[in-house]
Amino acid sequence: MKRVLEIHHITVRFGARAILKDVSFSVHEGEIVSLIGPNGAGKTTLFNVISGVVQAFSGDVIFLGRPITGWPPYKVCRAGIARTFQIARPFPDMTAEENVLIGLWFGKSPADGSRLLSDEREAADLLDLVGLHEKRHTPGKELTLSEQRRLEVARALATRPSLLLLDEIAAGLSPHAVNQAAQLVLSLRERGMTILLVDHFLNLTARVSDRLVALDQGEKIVEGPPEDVLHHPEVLSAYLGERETAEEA
Amino acid sequence: MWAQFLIGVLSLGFFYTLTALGFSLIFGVTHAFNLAHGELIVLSGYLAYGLMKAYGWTFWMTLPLCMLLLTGVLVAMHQVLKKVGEPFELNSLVMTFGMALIAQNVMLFFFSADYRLIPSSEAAVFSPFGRASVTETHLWTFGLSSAATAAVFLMLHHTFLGKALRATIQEREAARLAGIHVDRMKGVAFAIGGMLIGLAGPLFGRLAYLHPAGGLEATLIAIVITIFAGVGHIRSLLLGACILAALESGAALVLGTNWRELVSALILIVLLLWKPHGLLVGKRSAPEL
Amino acid sequence: MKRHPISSSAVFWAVILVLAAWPLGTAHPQLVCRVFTMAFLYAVVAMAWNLTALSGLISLGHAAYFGLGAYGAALMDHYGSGHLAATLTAGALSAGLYGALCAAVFRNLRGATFALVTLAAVEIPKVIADNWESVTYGSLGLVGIRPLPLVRLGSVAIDFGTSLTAQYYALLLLLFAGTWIHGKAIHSRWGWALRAVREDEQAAGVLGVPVHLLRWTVMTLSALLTGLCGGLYAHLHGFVEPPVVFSAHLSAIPLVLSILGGRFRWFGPALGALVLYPLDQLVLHPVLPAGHAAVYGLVIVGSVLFFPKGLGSWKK
Repeated sequence: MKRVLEIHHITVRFGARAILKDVSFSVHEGEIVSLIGPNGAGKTTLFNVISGVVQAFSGDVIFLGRPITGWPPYKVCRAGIARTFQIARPFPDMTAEENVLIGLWFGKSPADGSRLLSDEREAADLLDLVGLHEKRHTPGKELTLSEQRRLEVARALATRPSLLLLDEIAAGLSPHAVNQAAQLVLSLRERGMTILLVDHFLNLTARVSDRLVALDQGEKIVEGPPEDVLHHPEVLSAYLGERETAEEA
Repeated sequence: MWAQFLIGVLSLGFFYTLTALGFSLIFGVTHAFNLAHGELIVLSGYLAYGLMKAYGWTFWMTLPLCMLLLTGVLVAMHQVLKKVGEPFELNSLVMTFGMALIAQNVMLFFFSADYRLIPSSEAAVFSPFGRASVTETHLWTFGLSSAATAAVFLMLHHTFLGKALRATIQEREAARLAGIHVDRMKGVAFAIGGMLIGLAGPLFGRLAYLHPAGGLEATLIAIVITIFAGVGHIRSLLLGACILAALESGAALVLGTNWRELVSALILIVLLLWKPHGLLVGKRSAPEL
Repeated sequence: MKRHPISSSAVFWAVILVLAAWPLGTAHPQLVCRVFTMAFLYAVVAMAWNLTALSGLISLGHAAYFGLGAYGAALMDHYGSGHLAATLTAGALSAGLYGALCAAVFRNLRGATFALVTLAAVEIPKVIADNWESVTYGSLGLVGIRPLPLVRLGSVAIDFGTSLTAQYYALLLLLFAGTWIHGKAIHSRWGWALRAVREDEQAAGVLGVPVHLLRWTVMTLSALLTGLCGGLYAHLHGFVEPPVVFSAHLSAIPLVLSILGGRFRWFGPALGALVLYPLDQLVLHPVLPAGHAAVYGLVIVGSVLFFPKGLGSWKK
């Protein structure tokens, strides 16, 4: 299987503190991989490194065989990696449709160079896909949390990515909405996308992932099929440790 | 020569401390950047000048009235700034920039664009180290500035009000939870700031020419020292002010008096680039990881 | 959003038409003509300032670019070629270069920090102009800058140096050009990119908007345009001196005019200029010769107060 994304020995420091220590793994074409781990494990930082928002101290990110380490966010996006943010950040004063248009206009150009649909039509299709058709004229700041998350997914898809990084898209959602999110992720794979998830609460993991990568305190502890990783003693103790600190606090 | 330089730097450094003290206190407690700070100092200087000229008051007689009037102005300013919305820092900056323009034009209206100087004797009161001379202005500047700084220091560290102010500077939310009336503290900060500005003005009028557009330099100096020292640290404020005074006097000595302004501007730029969030007391939420 | 029966842009066009037709009538007071000429100039400065503001940064230091433009043109006129193309290029380039430098050095500063640093950045060219006496004549300023040239179009000779009407139309043309650029910065793909950066810089970046490059370009363009206006100012006035062309007042003017007219409308800053500047010069100045400029400060205070969500949120 073709490797879409390879993470090689990534280390990230803020001052003297190491947020990520020598993390390596790869994601293959058509896979859904979840990054799991307790708070402070470095999951979102890893997303930031891949998307160019944060610079790695050392290590390499390889996308489709090309090193993209240190690229600015817009270049990473145009190469074909799109992401959402843990705390959804739609453009607050733009409507849902305009949010998506930004992605269409500035993201990766269409592969065949020609455009079959008008921008507005394409935006409407994407909003349909995430179920926001009715809200297309609502400003970003007036959408509910779940709607903002879905808008972020539509906006990310608008940049025509081949790899999609989804950060906690199911956190804090109702069971019904979590189901919908799972359906959405699976349907995106059907469209030929490779997906990397951050899933702290393990909402989606069991349902959709092919593989899990578990991080704890900036280090990879284990990777493999969901059932193996979830029962791995180190993963259990990492999550259990978190629960204990939470109870103490 | 060196003794004279040292006397100049020390007197200027104490004056800068006084200049920065009010700004720093207001910024620390309310997070408002008062870009009209310098203009208000100049305004107070004009007041003293006017009183001396029109009614023949002596220098020290003008001080209480200047302090009182400027306290009134600052309290009024606080009432207006209270209504400013988010983002407060930027909006207060723009708002006080507007107030500075108003103050400039008010001064232009009453005192015209001519340069004025509060007359003071250049004669040496005494001469340490042989040829160096300490003038009356040196003594006034040093005496009043150090007295005001000491008073604020004692107030902050040894009174209940001072402790409440310091708590508000250090951690506003915690202070609120501890039962401190934060909005009242803001009013108090503006009032004390007004007194300090009122005191600094007449001294400013003795040290430099008064001109309606001459306030920006004092504002820049206050900002530079505040950013250097962080808010609420009076000893660092004093140190920063003396370093700045030494650098400026040095530049004036080497390059000529007028290049002095460049020093504070350059230092401000470098400080802001070095700690772009340094203004916020380091209480920013952790970077998004 | 309310729909007014007459859109504000129609009002703007009507104002422009009246202004374009007005001097053609027989008699018109020279003073009014002159004031509107300057209003056009400041309208372009305001739009140039707003280019930076549209990317989400409030500058309190555009006087630096205006002053550098004025000094660039004046020095070129004094020491080099007096040709208008040469002087204006010198003015625009010196401001543009300083703008490009500032944009690069201050690229990581935002909000209040950025505003403060721009305020300080004015002092550098100002102090140099004020003190490099062998070149700039220091605080005396440069005098005797040649007026705008006489232009022959076939058999018709138009003297832009002495004819106030000719200057009026020349600056009106500049206003059109400036408004076109400013309009593009709102209604175009470029404008959408600026808006995305303004509303959420990080989100814009991961959606493919080249944030740093965009900001750098727009700030450099903003400085260039402001410098061009500074150069024209030097020719229109015939002299430049540091306290005037580098004054805080010149940094405030574009900000005031823009927030008054509306920062997010293509005609906003221009409309603000056409309303406030003549009001200031023709109504307030005669009444209050010293101190009339307080109105700019009052407009700032008023708009921050009555648009309580801040400058950035005044829209539509």
